[in-house]
Amino acid sequence: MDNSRKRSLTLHIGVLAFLFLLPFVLPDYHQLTITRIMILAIFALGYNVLFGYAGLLSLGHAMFFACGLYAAGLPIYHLGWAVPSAFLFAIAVSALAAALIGAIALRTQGVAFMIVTLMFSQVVYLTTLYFSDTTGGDEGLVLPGHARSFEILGMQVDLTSPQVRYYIALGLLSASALIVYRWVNGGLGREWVAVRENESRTRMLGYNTFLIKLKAMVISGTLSGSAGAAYGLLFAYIGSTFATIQYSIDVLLFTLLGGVGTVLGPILGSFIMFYLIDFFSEHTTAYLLATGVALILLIMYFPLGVLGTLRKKWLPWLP
Amino acid sequence: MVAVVAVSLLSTKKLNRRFGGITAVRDVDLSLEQGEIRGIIGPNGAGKTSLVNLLSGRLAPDSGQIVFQGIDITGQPAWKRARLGIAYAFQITSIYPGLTVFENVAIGAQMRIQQSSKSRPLPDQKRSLEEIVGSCLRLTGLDWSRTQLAVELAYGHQRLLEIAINLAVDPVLFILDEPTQGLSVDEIEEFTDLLKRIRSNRTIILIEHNLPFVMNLADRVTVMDQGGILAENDPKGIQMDARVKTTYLGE
Repeated sequence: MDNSRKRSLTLHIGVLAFLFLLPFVLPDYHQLTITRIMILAIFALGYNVLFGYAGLLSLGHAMFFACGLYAAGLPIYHLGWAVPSAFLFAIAVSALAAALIGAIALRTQGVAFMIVTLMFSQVVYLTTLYFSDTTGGDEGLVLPGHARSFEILGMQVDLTSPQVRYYIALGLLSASALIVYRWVNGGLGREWVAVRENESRTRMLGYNTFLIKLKAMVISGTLSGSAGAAYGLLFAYIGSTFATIQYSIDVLLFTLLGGVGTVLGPILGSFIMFYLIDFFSEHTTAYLLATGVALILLIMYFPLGVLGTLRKKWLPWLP
Repeated sequence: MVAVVAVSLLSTKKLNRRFGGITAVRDVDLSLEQGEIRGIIGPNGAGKTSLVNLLSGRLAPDSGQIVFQGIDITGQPAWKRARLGIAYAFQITSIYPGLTVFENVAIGAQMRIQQSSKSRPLPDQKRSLEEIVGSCLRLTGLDWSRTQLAVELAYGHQRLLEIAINLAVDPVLFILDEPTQGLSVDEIEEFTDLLKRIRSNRTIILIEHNLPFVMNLADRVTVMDQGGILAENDPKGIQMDARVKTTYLGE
């Protein structure tokens, strides 16, 4: 038991160390790409808490990503807020939104839950379009110059520098991964898995399964929202494309591809999928086809994803 | 009525539950003593499972009252009743198939530990999750299988695993819905021994079709028919009862 925990912790820290050293050898273009991927990986990490651990398939997680994105971007654009306070505000708003939407959506199960989350997500998307005077709608808003740098602990942070953005993204990803790692390996993780595997059995043991699922929803939504906030702040752009269903599906794909119910899976999945789409879009305009084909192949041959399959066959200690 | 509540662990008063036109449970007044093993028998459709579903909170009654340890639990959800100490082993085995045997029991043990700070402290030798799981697995004879996936266990062992999961929460009242169903003669014998070992200060409800098994274990037996209680007595008295003989024992 202890030995396997040590191994898995080493692996996780190894992955993060590898990402830390990567920019020294990478050209600028890939640095930017990996920065994007790391933010999306936080999104996928959050998604996986709900889907992989608590077993709830949401088709509307773009709403939390967008919620963080707008809650961070709008106060900066309209009210002239500083970057750190906007980021913290966005995290709080996402947590609240996840709690409210969770309290309603979690009254349903299975397919109904998928539809209700999809519906809420569409409401968020259409709201961003409806209030396009404020949100910029489809065209979006480019954040003003004062949002391109901020001061923290007496240090001036320049958000136009690719290196700075890379390391901020990596820092956020590491923090998120370690938080998720701790949670899923603790008592809460056991409760999530218990609900996923057999909810009625879990309830009959004395667990308030609704509350357990709501906790997963809030943590998942908050991580997704902070990913959205980070995305908007690092790249100085907010727009309603991020609230479309495509982002909800993408994050599901990242998670499925990398391995449902593993901590590293969503991170790996984000990398593979992003580069796959990148590769296809160079050769064809039908790059969405790649997404579709990947989804079908995954469900047919690797329902556990890359890391899920590895864990089952060779590495049972993988968390 | 107050006096009744004071001496019995659980009592129901005029409990009713209908499904459409069928009355599954009709005016049931049931009273359980602390520490007894109560058999509930009756033909298929007599309302046995509906009755224990009302007790465990999986179903809500249309009318009537349930009092457990002096607390009116009629309106409480199932998980709250479980926290008060009512455990339920399903008629159709309900475990966590995709998890290891150890993890299965750990889910129960975690609840026991969470609950321990309050009125029911843990015994000294059972402070950690590992210790609770270990003792439950030894008690049920599943210690050899702790790293196996539950789905890979034989059927009889899966039933034992469900018992172990429930024992990990250390229930006050343990409801077993047809525990011997599908077990071999040898397994039933082992199961009888197990129940004798775990009864100590627990109250147990056994719903059963296997009459020799119930008659051997139960202190009292309640016979149900068409939703109501037909008779209630010690096993000997039930076997002599003329009404029971005609409606159920088929003599």
